[in-house]
Amino acid sequence: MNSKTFKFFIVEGLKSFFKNGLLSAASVITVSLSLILFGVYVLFSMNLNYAAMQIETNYEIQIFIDENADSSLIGQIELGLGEIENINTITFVAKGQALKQWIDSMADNIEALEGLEDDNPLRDSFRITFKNLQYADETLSEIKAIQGVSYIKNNKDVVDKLVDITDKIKKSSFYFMLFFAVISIFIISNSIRITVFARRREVNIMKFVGATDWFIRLPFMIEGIIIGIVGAIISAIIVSSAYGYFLSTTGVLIETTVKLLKTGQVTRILIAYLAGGGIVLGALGSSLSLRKHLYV
Amino acid sequence: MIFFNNVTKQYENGTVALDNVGFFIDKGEFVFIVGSSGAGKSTITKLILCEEQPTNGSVLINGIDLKGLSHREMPYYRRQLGMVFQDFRLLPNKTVYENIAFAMQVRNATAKEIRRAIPNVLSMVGLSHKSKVKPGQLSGGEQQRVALARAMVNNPPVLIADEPTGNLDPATAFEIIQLLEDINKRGTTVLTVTHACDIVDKMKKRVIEIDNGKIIRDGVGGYNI
Repeated sequence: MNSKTFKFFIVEGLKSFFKNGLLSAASVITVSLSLILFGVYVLFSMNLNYAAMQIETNYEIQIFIDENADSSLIGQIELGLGEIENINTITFVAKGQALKQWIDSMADNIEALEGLEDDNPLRDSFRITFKNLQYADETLSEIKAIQGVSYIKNNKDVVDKLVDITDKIKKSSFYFMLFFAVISIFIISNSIRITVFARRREVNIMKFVGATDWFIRLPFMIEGIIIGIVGAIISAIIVSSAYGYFLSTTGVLIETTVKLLKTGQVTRILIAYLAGGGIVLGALGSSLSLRKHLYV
Repeated sequence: MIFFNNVTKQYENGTVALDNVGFFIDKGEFVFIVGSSGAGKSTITKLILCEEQPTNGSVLINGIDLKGLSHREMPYYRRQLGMVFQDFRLLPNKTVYENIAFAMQVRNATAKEIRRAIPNVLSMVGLSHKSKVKPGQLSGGEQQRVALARAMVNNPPVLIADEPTGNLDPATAFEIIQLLEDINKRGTTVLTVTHACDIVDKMKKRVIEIDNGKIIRDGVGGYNI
């Protein structure tokens, strides 16, 4: 295909988009509505992943070291922890430092802790975070196998529940996305089908003068893509404005419980998803609706 | 050039539209296919256009067996045919010039080729002065002339006219048939499906008459001679 032919397709697609003004507007509105739902899902999914990531990165366990461990053994334990793939951060907490933190936190009942500085009952420990909570069990087994580790303070039930919840959220998000993709294709293909039906005579004439399937399909696909892009622009404006408004009105309330992504963090990704979604769905929808008319 | 080799066409509802039909039309011939409504005339054009496939027998156009033609090859085959229909089949939103240019654009003709070919073909059908007009502003005869210009702009070796005068008054109909004869004189094979007796009688060309799906006459003469 030469550049002139491609220009012809673009011009034909644009002409048709503007010529079928009302029909195009109806299609754009339908596509926008569908992409708004998709956009809401994208934001919901991004924030869920962000929340899951926060839980994963902030979850901490404490590894206590044998009472009699000397500095060389502590060093070896740290090396051993460093070799475990799923460990994200390692922080050493000396027993003196732990006692100080305890005393600071018990400032109101300081008398109860008097004399502990001379006979510190606490142990040296490591605080670690995981890269992926899903593999927490395997990682804990590896930690237990390190010589000098006395015991691990770990709320395993909480970990299991968190892993289960984030896993379920990720899986359901995927099916949710598939569901919206199918719904969108269905809506767009029906919108284009109306255009194709209104122009079936033109398609028929094209076939009889020897037009190839692609020659017939491309202007419709370009029209579908234009509808998709315009729909994506409208939906991106609506969804990002609504998200910004939501954050500004409920932000303070939500910040105390869960951290949400800022508008600036989501806008680019949202536009990319909606534009990509609009283009793919527009092209797919139009070619699906044309299939029947091409077999003349 | 056009060869129907013992063609039978039976539709899904059981109707036999053509029953063991055979004829050969040579290069440069002008042939009328006549018969009453439902005789099977339109099935012949449908088979030539590859809209339908024969149940038995074979159709060969320019040596191409249409039975072996894939969906992908169909457009390239159809480019060897010029088609004119009773209802003109022009694009209402395009001007006369654009309607004719469209037939060239589908074949990837360059802008230069299009600019060169269209004035010639418009002059041939006597519509040079109406190139910027849309089909809705033309009379039936003029619309059929545009359809003829569109069919001929790519110089196809075969022109199929399916009831080209069906929507026209007798005088205009005769003008269109004369245009078809002019085209034929330039070397194009013309196959005209019609039931306009007066025109067929005047032209004294080869006539293939179909009745109940069978050829009952094939020879030079008028409609009922």
